[in-house]
Amino acid sequence: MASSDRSVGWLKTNQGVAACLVVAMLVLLGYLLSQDWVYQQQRDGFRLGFFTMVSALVMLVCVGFTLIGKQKDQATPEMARMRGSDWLRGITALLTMLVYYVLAWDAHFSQDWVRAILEVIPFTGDFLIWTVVFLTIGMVGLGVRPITSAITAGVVVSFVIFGLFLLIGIDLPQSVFGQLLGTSAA
Amino acid sequence: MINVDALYDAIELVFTWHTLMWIAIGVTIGVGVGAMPGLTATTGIALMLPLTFTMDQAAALGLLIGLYKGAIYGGSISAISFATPGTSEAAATVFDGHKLMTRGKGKKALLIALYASVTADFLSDVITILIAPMLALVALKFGPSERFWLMVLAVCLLGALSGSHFAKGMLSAAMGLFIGTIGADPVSSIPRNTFDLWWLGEGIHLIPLVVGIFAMGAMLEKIVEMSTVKQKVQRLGGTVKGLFSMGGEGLSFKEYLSCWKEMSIGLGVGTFVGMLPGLGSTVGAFLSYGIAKQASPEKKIGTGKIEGVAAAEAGNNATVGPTLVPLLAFGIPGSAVAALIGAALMLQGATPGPRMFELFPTVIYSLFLILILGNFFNLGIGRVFAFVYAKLGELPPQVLVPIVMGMAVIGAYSYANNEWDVLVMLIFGIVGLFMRTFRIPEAPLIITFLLAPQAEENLRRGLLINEGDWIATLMNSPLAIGLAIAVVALTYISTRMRISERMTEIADDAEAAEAEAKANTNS
Repeated sequence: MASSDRSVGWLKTNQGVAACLVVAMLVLLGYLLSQDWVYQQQRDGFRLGFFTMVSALVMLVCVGFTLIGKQKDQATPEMARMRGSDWLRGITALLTMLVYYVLAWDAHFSQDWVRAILEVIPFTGDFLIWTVVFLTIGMVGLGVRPITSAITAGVVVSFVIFGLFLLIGIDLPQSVFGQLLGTSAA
Repeated sequence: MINVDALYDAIELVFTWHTLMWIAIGVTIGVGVGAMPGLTATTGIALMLPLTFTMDQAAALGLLIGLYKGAIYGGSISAISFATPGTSEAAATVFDGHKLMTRGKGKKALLIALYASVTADFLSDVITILIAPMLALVALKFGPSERFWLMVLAVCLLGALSGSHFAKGMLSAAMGLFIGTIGADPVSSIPRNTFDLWWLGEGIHLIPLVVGIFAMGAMLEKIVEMSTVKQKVQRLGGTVKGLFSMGGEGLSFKEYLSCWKEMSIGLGVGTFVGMLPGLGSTVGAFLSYGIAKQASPEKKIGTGKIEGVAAAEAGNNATVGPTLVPLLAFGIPGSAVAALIGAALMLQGATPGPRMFELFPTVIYSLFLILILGNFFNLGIGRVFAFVYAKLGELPPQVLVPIVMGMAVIGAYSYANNEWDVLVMLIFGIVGLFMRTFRIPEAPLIITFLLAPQAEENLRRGLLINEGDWIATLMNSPLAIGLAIAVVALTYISTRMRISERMTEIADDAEAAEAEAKANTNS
């Protein structure tokens, strides 16, 4: 159900969001038009950028329709109640997951500076330790109280996940606990 | 024509402890996923999809189809127990189911929900098994241009029928096409659209895309909801505990039979809706409920009647099998779940489509057997453990969200042991949040992403056959011209008649039902 409440800022209406998307689409189209591969013709006479350009143009047309369509003044209820801090909260959650992944899997994305940081942090590449930390921080951050419940849940769930994936045969980083459990030589 | 050898092989594959165990695990997880508000069948399948990579075909299908069947039924448990549908498919069940619950007839409501779900699901699976091979025979006669136009038509149908806004549906489809063109082109393997990033040379992998859009998008939305809306699980004291106690009022066989008309409506509507791309089980449930209510005004459906629960549950579960028909017959997934099951088949080396009946008959027969068997597992597991699942509805999202997020990271990485996949998953997580916030349907994106390479291959094959002549390629038969006209007509009708807005009204009914039921519970 769309809301047409006047208290909702223009930027949150279909028109406002579509206007931002139009700008993004124009930038994307400009970028694509400047690329050589878009015009590169194949032996069958097909240009390599055909589908990419078609998709970008369809996106622009659809966003254009949203910009001027009958529902242009309406805002989706979800968009209406979103605040800047909510987007920030989402991005923070994603960054937390990225940090968890980097620490638990010892992932450096071929970047020397990441590798250098990971070398000074203990227990990197230890799935269980970092999963317990991630789950506990996540639960506490989202409001689970008392904190001991979050820690207990974090520990129990981490071991259950670890055990399940071990049974299925999917490799997870193990290190210290792996050696204790005899499932890893690392 | 039945391939007896392949059928025999399929029976040998499916009736092993290993496969049966995975069907049971799938249903067990699925009912739990459905019962927990915030998790849907699509999220559950997206999270489980990476695990199927290490399994054999029958086990992988058993896990995913079991999960799907379980989740569609499982949504009714929390809908009846707490007036909070675990999935949107179960929102129509709240109308009568929760009223029965508040009158102390929760056990009766849960039982009719289970029996109606399994009955309609089973019968619609039989229809699927009969129809899909016949349609595949027709599809085999299609050439590259017909197949290309059929894909374009399917994408337009998806845009028209999914979501609240035709333009938003088509935007989603175009996004899927754009993402599908990242990486090497499917014919000459030349890298393109990589933004000069070497790690995009192989293109975007399906698993991180699906996990990001569906699972991460849903969890980020949950995090935002937790900060803006106060979450409160409606507790009904001892009522839930009493659901499956010996003294609770059960369901007699006569009462079950008395709902035959509503279950038949659910079966018919659900089967039809399931086969159409873009509609899905929520529309199936609401249409079935609405028709049943109008067909039998004397039954006073809507005032807490088992017939209302039967109509809604039969309507949503009857879509489960038929949603695979376009995938199996034409290679075109009609829903997000069908796309994910198609992806699982592709991961196992069996590309869905009409030729699958010739090339992989054992896989097809295994799929059919699992579709049927899944219903018996759903019946047994749902009947015995419904009380346990009702308690799952009380699991706070504050605990659930970090667990799903952790699973998402494991799933995204484990598929190809590629660290960039995790980054891609996280990026698509924020895209998924935006799509949910702006109500851009996700299904067209995933389906077009899967169809993009096939569409390009068909178009280019047609161009090669016709020596680069576009008109001859695109309009080389009356059927191709007919399909092209259908695409134009559908686009015109969708924009003029605002079909998608009417579909939204059905979705709005779901929200209204939920709000009404909650208000009733509070009062």
